[in-house]
Amino acid sequence: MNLSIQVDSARRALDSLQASGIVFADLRLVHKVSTAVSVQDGKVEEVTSGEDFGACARVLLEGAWGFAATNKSGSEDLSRILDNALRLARSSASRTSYPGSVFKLERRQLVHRPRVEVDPREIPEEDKIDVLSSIERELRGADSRIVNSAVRYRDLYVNEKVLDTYGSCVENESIRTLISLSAVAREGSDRQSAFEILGETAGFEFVERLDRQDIAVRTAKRASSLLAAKNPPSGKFQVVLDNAVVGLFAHEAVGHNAEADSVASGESIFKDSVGSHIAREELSIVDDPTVPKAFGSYAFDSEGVEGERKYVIEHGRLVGLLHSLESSAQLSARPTGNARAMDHQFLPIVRMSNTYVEPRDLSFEELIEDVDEGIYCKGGYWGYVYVERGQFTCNVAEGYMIKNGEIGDHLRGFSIGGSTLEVLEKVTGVGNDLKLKLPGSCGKKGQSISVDAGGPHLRVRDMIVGGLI
Amino acid sequence: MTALIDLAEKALNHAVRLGVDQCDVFVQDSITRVVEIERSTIATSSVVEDSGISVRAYHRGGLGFAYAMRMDADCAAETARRAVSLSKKAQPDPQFKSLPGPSDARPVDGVYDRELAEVSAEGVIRLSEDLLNGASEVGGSLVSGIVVVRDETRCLLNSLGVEVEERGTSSYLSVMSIVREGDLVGSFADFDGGRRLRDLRPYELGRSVSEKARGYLGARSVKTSDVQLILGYLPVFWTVMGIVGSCLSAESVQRDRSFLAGRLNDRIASSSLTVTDDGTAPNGLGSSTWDGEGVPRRRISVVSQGVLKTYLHDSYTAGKAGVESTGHASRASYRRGVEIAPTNIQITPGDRALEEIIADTKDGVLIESGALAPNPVNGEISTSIDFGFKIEKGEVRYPLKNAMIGANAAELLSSIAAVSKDYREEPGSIAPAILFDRVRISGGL
Repeated sequence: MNLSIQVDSARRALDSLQASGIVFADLRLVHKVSTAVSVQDGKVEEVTSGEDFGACARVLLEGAWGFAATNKSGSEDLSRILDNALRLARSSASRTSYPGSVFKLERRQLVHRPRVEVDPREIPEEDKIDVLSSIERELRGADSRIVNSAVRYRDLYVNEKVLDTYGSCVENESIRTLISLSAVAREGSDRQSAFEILGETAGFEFVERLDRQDIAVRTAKRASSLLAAKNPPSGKFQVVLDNAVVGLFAHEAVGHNAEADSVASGESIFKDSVGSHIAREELSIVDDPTVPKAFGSYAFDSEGVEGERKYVIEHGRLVGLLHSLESSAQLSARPTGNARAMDHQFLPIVRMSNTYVEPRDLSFEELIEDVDEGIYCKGGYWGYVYVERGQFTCNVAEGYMIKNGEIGDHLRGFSIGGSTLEVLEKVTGVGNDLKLKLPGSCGKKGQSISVDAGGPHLRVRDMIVGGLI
Repeated sequence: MTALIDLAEKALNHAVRLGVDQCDVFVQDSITRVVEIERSTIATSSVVEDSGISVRAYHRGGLGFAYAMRMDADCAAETARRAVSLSKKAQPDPQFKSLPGPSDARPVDGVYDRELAEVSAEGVIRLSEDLLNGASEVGGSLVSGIVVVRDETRCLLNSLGVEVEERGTSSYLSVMSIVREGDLVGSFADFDGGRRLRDLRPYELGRSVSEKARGYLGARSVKTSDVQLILGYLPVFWTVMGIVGSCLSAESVQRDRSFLAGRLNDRIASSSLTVTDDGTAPNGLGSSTWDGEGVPRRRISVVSQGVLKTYLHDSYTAGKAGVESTGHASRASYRRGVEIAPTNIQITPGDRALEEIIADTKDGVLIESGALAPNPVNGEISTSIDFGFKIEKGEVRYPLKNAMIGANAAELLSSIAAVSKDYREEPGSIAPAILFDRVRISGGL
């Protein structure tokens, strides 16, 4: 299909809507091309190719939002979905008791094209299969106890155009590449697993530059070494979080609470805290979609607003929230470019990008040397939070006991949890080794969005550990 | 011939012409109406049309999969071409036996409801308002949620002669209520679902979720200790559904990545646990006449009095194991391939009233929502108790905060002390409460 015709039709459809008394409307045109390869237990299992195209319209009329989406691609379909969105807004206009609003922006004409060295769309599937097969071979061969080994690859090209009634047209292109490894080790009936995920907003050069053998061997060894690890203890402990777990903590415990839609609705625990000290002075947390190549990076959000680096917590004070056009209008703030939509079938909502704790000055050795009895929490892939209470849970892939400042027994996986506002006051040390370690996706309201998170090592007292003994 | 079958046939013929051993074509066409609720009011009203086609092509057992989000003949042929080309790049797989051939099946009742299919945008708003009216019966609650009504037609053709088409309706209402009193916060989340309009109870859902939210005001920390555990209806449903889906899928078992691998016909749970999966339950949310490969859905015994009776199969895992497919090939969307998934989970209720079980619990915890999701590989469970109460001397005393649970699923399944005779029923599914002898609770005190 011809995308420039689509843009012209979209502009005409939006212009013709101006007379209907609407406050705001936008149209998004989304085109995605993806390839996925999966190699498991020595065999190329599946090679997948997908192409998505669709459009959606959003209309704000008398305080009510209407939204319509289609993947029919005729130019008349754009007018049709705008009409549908308008009709839906009109039908709920008298029924909403809290009117929606949008921040008034200037007209923007912007284009972002990614600079990748090797466009994955130009790499033959055979080459992707070869690379994956070699990683899977290393993973499977690294330890005789590995009984299941899987490596998955995905590249995703997205072109998103946003046109709105402010006269703007913002086109944002992105390319992301992701690899994940999983290994299961077994001894008798005892099984342990390890998982690794690596991804960048980059082309196939990202895969070519990986030390693939090292990653495969480390993942396999982690699974097999956990067979000899002990069950985790239960109770309250001083913990040292590694770069991944601190990322989960920053994302779940803090980031979700700082999403301004939850603050504006009165749900988040941060609803009355902006400007207040909520954490120890040494703690600063940032959300930054401009980190070069990071998996959660982007140039413009799904409302065509430029992504920007901003502090959520700066030296212990809650200084900023993540905003969409709507939340910024509601809270009299500036949009921050955090309105993101998974695809054309969903409305943009407030989301994080790359969320991390800023480094300070302590080395890992200094962080653990004062711990009499504690747990070093290492690696983790999922977490969640209830924002109304700030009650969070973070998965930890493996741990080590810390005894008298020394690393001790190896522990199997567990989860840690607590209440955000209590835990933020219990940070007792911030490390100096910032890393983003969680390329992957975050789910909210049925939408899965690419994000990353991390930080330096962090020491926290009185963390609850959901152990077995 | 319907338009969907016509399109699928074009793709199928094209793939066969290109020289493929076997292939199937899936076409999906849906319209979804959604109302989002925020701050206890209607926030957005949406309509989403979605249609697309996917092709699975097998060349010497190697699988190529392609999909496209369009529905025209050119696109169907192009999708078939891409799938066939990818299948030749995948490795040959001698363990692939065959896609299923055609078979007869009695249409399952209540999968499609004209009344629900005809619900307009206005109708979805009215369902949302009913939900809000129910919630407003309980003062001071802040309600958010979503009401979804979907009408979808699925069609599947394969090169062995399978040709099936089925239209289904469904609705899903999900709601969270938050109640604040001073510094205290109580919240609860719940859902309702059905394939027929008459099965939905939005007003009752709104009211009950806000009443429950109020019950969570004044949560307290507890000490780390071993206690009895009562899993309520929702956690039993999500936990059993999760274990069946991720640990009893033949795919996980054959890959040796399930703690229940190699346990067929073994006792894996206390004899009070019986679990059935019924893909033919009338009006069931997970029901359909055929699975995602055209195999008739059926009712199967998964666990009978604690003994593991079967794993869940699609045609690939069934061929590998030399058994018949159990009809559990699931297609979430044309954008994804086939995965093994349960349909409607029914846990057989026991003979003791939940009230009586609680009254007999000296020192325990009652969890009302959330799943105890084990790591499928080893059954290890470590998670927060997000909606739980402390039970002391037979009485539900206070809600919990900062409490976590650590357990092993294999041990937990074998320590079932009672299954309640009371249960919650959602269309097709049944979940009673379950009492476990002893689990480790980590607390913040």
